[in-house]
Amino acid sequence: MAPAVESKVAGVGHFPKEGDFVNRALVALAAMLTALAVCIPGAFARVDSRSGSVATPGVTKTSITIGGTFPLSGPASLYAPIPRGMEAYFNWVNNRKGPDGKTGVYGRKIVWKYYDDGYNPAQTVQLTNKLVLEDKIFADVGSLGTEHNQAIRPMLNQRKIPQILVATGASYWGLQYKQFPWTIGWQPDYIAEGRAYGVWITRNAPNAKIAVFYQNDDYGKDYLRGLNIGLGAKKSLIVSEQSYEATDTSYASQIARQKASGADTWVLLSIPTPTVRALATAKALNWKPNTIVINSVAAIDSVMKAAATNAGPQYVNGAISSGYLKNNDAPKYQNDPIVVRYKKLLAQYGPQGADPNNTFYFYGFAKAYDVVKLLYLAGKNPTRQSLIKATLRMNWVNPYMIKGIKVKTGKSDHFPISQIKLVRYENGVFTEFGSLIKGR
Amino acid sequence: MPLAFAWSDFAQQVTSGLAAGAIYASLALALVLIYQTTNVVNFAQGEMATFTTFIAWMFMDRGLPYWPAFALTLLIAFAGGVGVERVLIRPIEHRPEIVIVIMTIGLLIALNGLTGWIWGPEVKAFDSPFPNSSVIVGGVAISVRDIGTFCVCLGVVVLLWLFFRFTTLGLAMRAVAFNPDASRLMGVRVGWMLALGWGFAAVLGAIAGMMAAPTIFLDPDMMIVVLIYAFAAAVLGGIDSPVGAVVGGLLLGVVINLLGAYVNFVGNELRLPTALAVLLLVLVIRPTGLFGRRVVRRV
Amino acid sequence: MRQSGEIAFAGKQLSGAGPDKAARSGIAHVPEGRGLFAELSVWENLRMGAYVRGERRTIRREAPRVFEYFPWMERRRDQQAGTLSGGEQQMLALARALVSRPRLLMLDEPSLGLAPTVVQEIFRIVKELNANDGLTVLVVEQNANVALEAASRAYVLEVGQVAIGGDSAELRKHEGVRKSYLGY
Repeated sequence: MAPAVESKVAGVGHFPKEGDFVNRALVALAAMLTALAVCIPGAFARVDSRSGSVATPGVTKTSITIGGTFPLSGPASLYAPIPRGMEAYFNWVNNRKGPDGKTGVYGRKIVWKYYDDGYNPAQTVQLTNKLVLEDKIFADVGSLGTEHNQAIRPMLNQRKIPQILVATGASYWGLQYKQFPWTIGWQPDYIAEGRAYGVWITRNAPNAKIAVFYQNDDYGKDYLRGLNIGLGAKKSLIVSEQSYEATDTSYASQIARQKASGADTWVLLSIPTPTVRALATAKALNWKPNTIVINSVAAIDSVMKAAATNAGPQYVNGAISSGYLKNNDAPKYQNDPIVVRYKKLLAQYGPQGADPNNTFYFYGFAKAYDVVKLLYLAGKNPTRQSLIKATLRMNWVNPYMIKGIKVKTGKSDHFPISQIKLVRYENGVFTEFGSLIKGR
Repeated sequence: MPLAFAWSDFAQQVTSGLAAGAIYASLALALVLIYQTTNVVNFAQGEMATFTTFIAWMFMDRGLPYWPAFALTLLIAFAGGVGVERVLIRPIEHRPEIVIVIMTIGLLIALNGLTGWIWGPEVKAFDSPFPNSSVIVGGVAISVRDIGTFCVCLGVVVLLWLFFRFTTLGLAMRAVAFNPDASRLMGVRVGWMLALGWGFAAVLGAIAGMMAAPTIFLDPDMMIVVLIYAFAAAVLGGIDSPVGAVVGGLLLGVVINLLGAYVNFVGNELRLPTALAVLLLVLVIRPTGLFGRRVVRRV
Repeated sequence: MRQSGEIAFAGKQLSGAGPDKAARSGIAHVPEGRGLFAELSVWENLRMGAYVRGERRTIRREAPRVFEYFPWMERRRDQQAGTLSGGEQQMLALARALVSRPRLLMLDEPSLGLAPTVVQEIFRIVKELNANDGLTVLVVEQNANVALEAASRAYVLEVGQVAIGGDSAELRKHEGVRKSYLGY
């Protein structure tokens, strides 16, 4: 397709003086074909791969362009601080003198392009095309959402564009690396997290009667699988499994049955809003089991607060969850040098009025830290190939994470973070307890 | 995982179904009110409810006690409903119904966006005048909040019924719904009656929203699914029958619970599809719904 | 279509105003086809007649008077209006108009589709209303015999124009009218 376009465009140049209808028709035709070429991804891919041998897209002597898609508006817009936190961190990196004595990474400024997909996978695809074709990014970094990353994964892999440190904990980023070698995740995956809860129960409550409440999709089922793996031989502790659908407006039916099952331990493998609903419903049904909620619930301050407001603080106190990042909002970390420095950098390089207690700016910093590490690891003359190779040689301590957690990958380990610390909710904050649990 | 049958479990499923059903019923009734006067289904009904519930939340967040905030919200909802009819629906009143439907869908999208933009996407706890505790009756834990919700929703329905039955304005609004031309001959300002209908529907929606929010929590999308159930309830009862809307809502709440709990192959996944299939079946047998109007006319 | 001219009632302009305004200025109109609320009860239809003058007060005062003319209505006040016979429906429409105590009663084709005895009955009542209560009645009627008998003044409309007008007794004697409309 591409060579054909070029010959037509050249053809117009050969008849400059005929200057009448034929000429204009040819110009119109050329314009149409050019437009068509832009619309057909394959057309450009070929041009790209040819020029790729000359220079790596997105990398110049002075800059390196990376990008991603995030829900800045719409139902998931509470994650909007993530790319902004990353931006603040990159701004700082672009201004500080690095280990090599230069600003940026090896003297290249990080150009960070991120777009609002409104949490709509169709938008994600469109905007990723824009990132690749117009902004010519070196790599897609940290894009958010499971379906959203799934939607762009084939295209990015086909063009050999790294899709790294995606902001979703689905297990397939780490499991399907043979099929999609250009993609890698970051945070502990849902199976690992579910497994950690299972392990904890077998060790600390070997006689528990467990009721599991899960979201009826891949997400909830990943968690459920992990929980079963963690329980191992103790799988029979589960006395009730109930699921909910996105279309349910009341969970009373399911939860009444879980209560009737005689369970005393309740594992809620549900996303934030359904979790608060479930907790309030259980309270209304006069059921008070020990509860476990997932990390994405614990990560959002407003969720547990809403549940506490509704059901009373006593009801939610003692709920167990897990984490891997330092809790930038907890009293424990207020004097932690990394948290103190994060607050300073966010105020200096972040958006106006950014709330330093918001978990997601902190998450953005933690993620950006690893991105910069990877860019150094990819070498002085980075290529997409060298970057993706670097993702399999990660081995360091990220200071934004809970003490002892290592970011580590290898040829057969495609899960950068797989250690988890359990946390317990007491008087408005989640506090770490116990030792690190290995999720994988 | 089905359980052995026990009456207390059955009763539990029924009572929690009634509580959910009362909310569907309120919103279904709002749909019916507007359908009767404007002959269209107001797709923005759920978003109007969400928006007004957020207004109530804002009042309470600023320190207003529950009931004053409740009353103030109802007033605002009423004015808002009247305003929507006057400003958005009135100018296209005589256009084909599809135009009005498109307008209400536009309103749905606009209000949803506006709600998210003003109040943000974080889930919020919403106060309830009823404590989140339960009374135990014969082994069944009945939530006090559910009882309260049920009573408020049904109380409003009864009040509305009395209003339509016994007041002049109520009579005039019914007359307009049945025969706007004849109502005009009686000296009724028909346009205003339509606006009042929208106002009352908005009030019902606000009540449904404020009753639903303590259990399903406040977020910009909270009523989208409730509207689907309300629509099903309204169609089940007969889209032009207020009594049908209420019975349909309660029935739907209970049936969905029982299907999930006792019919093995249905489980939790297929509750909604099954309920909708039942609905379809009802409509095939009785196209006007359970309580649909069938006027006997002699000429 | 070009329209001109004006409509005024009791010194007030009605041109361009809606039928609800005409009703509020004291005109009761029983349209062709009666315009009843078929789904409402007999009593509720009467209440709607009282709407324009303040429903509660008016219905309490006017209902007994109307029931004197139509005694059956009191016994069947809760019946759905749509289930009445054609003649009963016409009487209800008339009764509903009377409840509003109009200054002008306008009847459009009241005899349409009704049995001759019913038509006689309706016109008897209209005449009585005019005689006893001094109510002004404007009837548009194709049944010229019945209409001319009841009316004091009459006009013959031909293609939208007043062809002949005058005292109804005189019109009845008019040769053209007799031949074209009365049939003898």
